[in-house]
Amino acid sequence: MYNSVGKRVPRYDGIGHVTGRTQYVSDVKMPGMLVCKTLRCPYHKARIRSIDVSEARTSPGVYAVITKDDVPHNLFAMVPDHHVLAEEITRYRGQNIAAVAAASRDAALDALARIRIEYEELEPVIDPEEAIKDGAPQVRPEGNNHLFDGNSLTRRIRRGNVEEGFREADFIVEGRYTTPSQEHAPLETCCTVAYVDAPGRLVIHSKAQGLYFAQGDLANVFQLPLNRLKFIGGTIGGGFGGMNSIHTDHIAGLLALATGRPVRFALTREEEMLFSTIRTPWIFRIRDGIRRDGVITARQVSVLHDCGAYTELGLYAVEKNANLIAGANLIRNLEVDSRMVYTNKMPSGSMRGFGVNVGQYAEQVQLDRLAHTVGISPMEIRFINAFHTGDKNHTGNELASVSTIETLQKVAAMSGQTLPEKYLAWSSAPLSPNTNSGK
Amino acid sequence: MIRKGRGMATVYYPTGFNGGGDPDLVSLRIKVDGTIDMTNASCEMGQGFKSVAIQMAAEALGISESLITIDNTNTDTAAFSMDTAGSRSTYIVGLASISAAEDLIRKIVTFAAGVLGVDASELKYEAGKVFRASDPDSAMTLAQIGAASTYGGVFIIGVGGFLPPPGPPRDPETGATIPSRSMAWGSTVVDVEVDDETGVVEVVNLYDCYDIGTVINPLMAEGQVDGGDVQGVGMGLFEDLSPCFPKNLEIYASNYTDYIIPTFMDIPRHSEIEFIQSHDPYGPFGAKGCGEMVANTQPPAIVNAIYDAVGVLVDSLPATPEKVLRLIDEKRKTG
Repeated sequence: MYNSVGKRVPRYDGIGHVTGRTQYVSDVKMPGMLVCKTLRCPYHKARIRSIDVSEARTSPGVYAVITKDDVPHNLFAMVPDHHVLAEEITRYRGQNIAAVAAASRDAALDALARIRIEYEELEPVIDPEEAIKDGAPQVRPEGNNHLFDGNSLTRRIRRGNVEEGFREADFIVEGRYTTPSQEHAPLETCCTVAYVDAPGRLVIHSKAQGLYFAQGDLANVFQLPLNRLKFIGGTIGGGFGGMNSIHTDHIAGLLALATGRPVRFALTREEEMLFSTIRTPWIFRIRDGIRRDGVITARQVSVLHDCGAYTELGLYAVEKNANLIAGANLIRNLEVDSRMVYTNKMPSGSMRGFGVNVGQYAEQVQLDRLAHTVGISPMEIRFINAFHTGDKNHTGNELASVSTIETLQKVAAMSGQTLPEKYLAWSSAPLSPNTNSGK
Repeated sequence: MIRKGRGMATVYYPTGFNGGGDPDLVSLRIKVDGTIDMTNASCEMGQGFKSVAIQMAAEALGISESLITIDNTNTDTAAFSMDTAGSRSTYIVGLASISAAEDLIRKIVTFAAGVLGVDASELKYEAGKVFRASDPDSAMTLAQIGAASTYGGVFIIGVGGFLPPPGPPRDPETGATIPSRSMAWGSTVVDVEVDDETGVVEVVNLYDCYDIGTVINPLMAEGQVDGGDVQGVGMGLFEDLSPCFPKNLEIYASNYTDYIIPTFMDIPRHSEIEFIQSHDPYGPFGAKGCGEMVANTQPPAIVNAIYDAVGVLVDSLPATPEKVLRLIDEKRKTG
């Protein structure tokens, strides 16, 4: 039916990758290229009482030292609330405060040591369940809790009537599940080479997963029109979502503008792990009602997302999580209440599975709990509650091309499990009252 | 003692940005010799974007993928891409490629009509050739069109785009909205061995079955799943930047000695991948998004398999030996 589609075409640029010919940002070298290093806040939260970079500026080999006062527009990110260089109150350990461009790594590190800075350490809040409480230390001036639609502590999903659903249930099952902070761990750490080209445009060799995404965001930081700002990239040593956030492009760009020289800003592995965005923690509580026949009659979910110190991609993750947290099951009576709270930690970035897989862990482990409670197999409970084509999911999204049942049938066969005849006869075709369990 | 267990998980995953509204553009430029330059600024980060994008453009033009090169290298020359995220590139770039290919074919046919001195409506395009429907031998090839147009001072570039329809504003009370028209589906079965004296969990067999619609390139899709299996095992068993969270954050892992990611020694001893080739009514050639979902089924399946093996439920990821052992001890004590 197709010529090219469906073919096992070898990787377009695979030979270049395995022979070392592919040029990643980390490989870019330019004549006269300076090295960037940044001063990072050593506290989870602090007030910067004073900062004096005058000695650092005259340090040997130093071309520029910048602080927040040197940033044309000091806010960036998808939700632009993150400071390029820290304002008076720092919000997480490792937050960038000042940046140096120097002739060598040693000269840059030496200059950082000459920055005179006076901190007042402030009480941070680390635990999201503490941060939502009244009187908790404030992470941001607007408060620790995100207000959805400008006024609501919770992001809600409501479907059917959960009280009725619980009345119909033979068992009530509750679970609490948590997921940790995770690092993307790409082979290539964050790296930028920025320079000013012959016509005077700022050019940024970037590891961004979205070149235009980063360009739009940073045009605002640099206050440059898009025709004065060019991004180069497109082939990177791993992203996994981490390169949807900007870690080095902004500061390298500012230093290239300040010095007129090429500037390289590459994170060490340690910096990458400690100071780049991460998958931040989640806490899920699920309360289900289930009938003896395996049908889930009601589900209540409460979600707490620990967003870290700035919004970055956390809000997007909460939205996506809420839409999918009830899982690939048709649940007629559902309540989801999600919250997002700020804490004094690294901000929430995107990571493969972004907001969804964390919920899927909680939901799928809970689903097995339900199966054990009513004494049916993990396979059965998934067949019984599966969506069918034409069903509406929990946000009212009409589902096309559904195949839970087919993937279950196939994976059972692959793993040598014999399914009861009736499940082999089922399909994801739209349900009529006479097919399947007639639920 | 080594105890064996089996677990499973079933998920679904939306294609594209949550709520849609995330466009991409594609251009297809014919060169003097009839080869094609494709541009779109999506990022190649190992997932196989370039190969898959070229295959979809080749399919839409009915030509060999070897005739197409792709430029995704910079914001001056590569057509706009919203981002490379949300399992969106195959789907949205694919639909934009189809639209650009249609535009290119229209322009090629119009140009050839001028050269051949016929009305464009008399011409057909098929597999890299334009010909009179009544006389297939009258064909102009892409190479002839590339030369005749370029040296004739006519710039032929096909452009197209695709915008996933933006969902309705989310209802603040009920949450009603349309996250995505297209959803991918998948199930995984995992066999584990749990050492009940050390708490160490080993993934023995891993069976994945995913519906990502039409599989554009099985080699790249299987690569995504293999990588997903490894990352899934990492999330399920090892990865935690702050194991003492929330009590203590001081011990933040800063290296691969303290932060364990799977190595070749930790990947499943045996794994199998199958795709259910459904046809998505909205996707390019029936394809859906693949990238993220295939890393999502493994952690819950592993945790469910641990329960099957030793009867303890790990309710916080990852299922480290310490956690598993503590739960086994607790279970023994409480009988």
